[in-house]
Amino acid sequence: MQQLKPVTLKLSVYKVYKVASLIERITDTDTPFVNVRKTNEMFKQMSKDIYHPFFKFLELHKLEVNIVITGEFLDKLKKYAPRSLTVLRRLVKGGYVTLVLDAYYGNSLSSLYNMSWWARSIEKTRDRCEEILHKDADFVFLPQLYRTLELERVVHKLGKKKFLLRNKGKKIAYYKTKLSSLRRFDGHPVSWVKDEKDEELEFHYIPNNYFMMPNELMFEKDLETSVRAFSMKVGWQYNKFFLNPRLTKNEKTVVPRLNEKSSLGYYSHLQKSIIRLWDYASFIIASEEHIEDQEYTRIKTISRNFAALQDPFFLLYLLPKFYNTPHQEVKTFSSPYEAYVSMQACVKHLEILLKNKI
Amino acid sequence: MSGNTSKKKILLLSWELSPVYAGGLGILARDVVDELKNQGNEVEVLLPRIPPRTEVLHGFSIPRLYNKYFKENNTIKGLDYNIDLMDGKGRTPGALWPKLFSSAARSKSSDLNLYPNNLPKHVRAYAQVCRDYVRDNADRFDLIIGFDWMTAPAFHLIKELKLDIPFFFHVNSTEWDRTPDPRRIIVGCQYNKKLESKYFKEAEHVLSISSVTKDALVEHCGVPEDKITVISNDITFNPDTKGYTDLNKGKNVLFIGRVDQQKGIPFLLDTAEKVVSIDSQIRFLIAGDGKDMDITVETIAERGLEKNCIIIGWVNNEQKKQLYKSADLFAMTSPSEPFGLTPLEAIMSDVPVISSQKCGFLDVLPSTPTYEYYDTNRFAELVLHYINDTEDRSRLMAKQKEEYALHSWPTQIAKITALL
Repeated sequence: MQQLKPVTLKLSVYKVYKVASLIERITDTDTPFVNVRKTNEMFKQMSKDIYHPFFKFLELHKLEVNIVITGEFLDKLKKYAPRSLTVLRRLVKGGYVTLVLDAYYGNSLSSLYNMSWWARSIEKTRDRCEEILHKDADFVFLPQLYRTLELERVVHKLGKKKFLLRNKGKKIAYYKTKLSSLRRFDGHPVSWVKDEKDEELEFHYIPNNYFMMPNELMFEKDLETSVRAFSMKVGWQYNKFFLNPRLTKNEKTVVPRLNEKSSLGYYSHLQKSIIRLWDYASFIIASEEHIEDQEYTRIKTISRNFAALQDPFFLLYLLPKFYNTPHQEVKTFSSPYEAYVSMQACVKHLEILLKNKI
Repeated sequence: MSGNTSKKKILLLSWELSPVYAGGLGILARDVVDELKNQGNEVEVLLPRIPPRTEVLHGFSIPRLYNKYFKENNTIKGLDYNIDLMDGKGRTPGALWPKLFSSAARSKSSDLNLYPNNLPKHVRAYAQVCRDYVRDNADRFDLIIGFDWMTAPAFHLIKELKLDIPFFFHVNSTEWDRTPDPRRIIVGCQYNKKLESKYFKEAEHVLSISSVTKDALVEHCGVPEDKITVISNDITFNPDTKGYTDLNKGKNVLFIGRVDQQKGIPFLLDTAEKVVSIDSQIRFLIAGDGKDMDITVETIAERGLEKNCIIIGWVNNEQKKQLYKSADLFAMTSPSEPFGLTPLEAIMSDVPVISSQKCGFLDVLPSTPTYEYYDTNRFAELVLHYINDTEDRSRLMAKQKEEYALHSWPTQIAKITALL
């Protein structure tokens, strides 16, 4: 059984969005949501400059980390960076890495509004892990835990009972409970979690200072130095944890106060608005999924492309402070408002395509 | 003034003339020039600057002289207030963020910044060029017309020549129209206000583009009412035959204009919130860019209007024409608009217009349903009524088209020469 380590890394594909207004999108309906060519080029560059040296660093110093990984990342790693994949495989095989499943496109926020989509995406990532890394993961990444979250979708179908969450605090925390005591519907325990289906679930809260995103390095001015500094920070955090007996003795057990429903309280107005738009988009896609034949295939393609848009990393573009850093050329958008309007245009275009039956 | 109708030789002083323009002034100047020419007058337009490789019909500039005066940076005697106030200092920085879809907007617009931060220095150089040109060509002109405050220093210097040529101001907008909110104290604007109130009333006559501007001229600039003639604006606009079919015409309310406080965007969003709570199918298409784009986007997000208030961003001329055709109702939301050409474009594109009360174009389209710009309940009521009652909407459209057909630009322009 894999054990959770303190330092957690999130690996997902850095997407380069296509900036276009609604008018440009409806004039040229083939305008993509994500610039695939540039995204692939960027991935190749990032594999070379960030992922590969970082994986080698982990291997050299035998550091143990959790990696929250997306299926898309694994697919691209296999296709564009086989050398890095080999190192990652060795790390996984040696037990240095605990894999944590994220949604296939990193669209884990869909667990807030479209749970079937989210569960399907987790399943897809699990398949990729088994196929590419030859290893299944015990943990699933959750952006938020709340009582109406239909965890049965991954607990019963995929057999996953351990979850990792990112926490605002500074300490690693741990929460264990039965599925039946967690799940609520309208304030009451749900009737469909029967004794034979009841499972004991584990929730591990990783604080922000242990949760790191190598993709953010792309915005640093001196990439090489930044990657080195990032690697050393990981090593330092790892050692700090194991040198502190209070931390290693036991993870702090907590009984968190759980919300009945999902909350967007952590997000800014622009971020909330975009999440609502994603919610709306997933709703309209789902409402058209019954369409048969060729149209259905096209909707499937659009749905897939749209899922790729729902990357929590996009939410960074909506923060004004994000634009204070140098390395402007990497940023797709010139302001949070341009990012917002571009995403709004994407969703409205999607709505138009679906309403007009494509 | 004799009312002599013989053909006149007219010198126009204008900061803009299409295709060198940044806003409505350049379009207005072009329309005035074309019609004066149509009526057989001789017209020349002296512009401050013309970008390289740009041909401006009937327009010219004197770069050598202009550059000389610009370098010398002479003060102008008699302008007894600090003309350098706008030189960057004390001026609001405008948008701190780059323009929305800026790469597209930049590539399609003129590469000459007509209103830089050191505008007063340019205005001063231009005034001296105008004085020299008029002095050397005094016998060639029957009339000089200066557009807006940028020609006021030129008027001051020309007046010192004591020539027997009447000088008219053609006022496209006053500073009171551009910055109606007294809380927004911008040093440059205060300077412009002083300039306007000092010089407009000294001219032989003032031509105003609407009764709204006329009221501002009387109230704020002290111009006697009998010294003002309203020359109601007009446009040359060829509407498109089709719109964006994908935008599902049916419940689209269109706004086209600069996204800032002067255009009444906060009231539009207040109204949208009320309208959407009653009919969630209605969409507000907001086309344009401006310094308040950040606040506008924040407000849309904060109020959860993301599905109904769609920011289109900057649009080019062709896109604008198609947008009109995709709309069902056009909303003119400015608290105070000297004229407003977009409602006329909307009417020509078969889109009925509703408007706030203080808009100049209402002289031409008096049947337009109006509301006090802050009365968002009434605004919402009008939107809901005309979007849902298609028959009434068609009736309004027919009436507005009928009124617009009565508007004659040649008659309006003929008023200018009739004043001589």
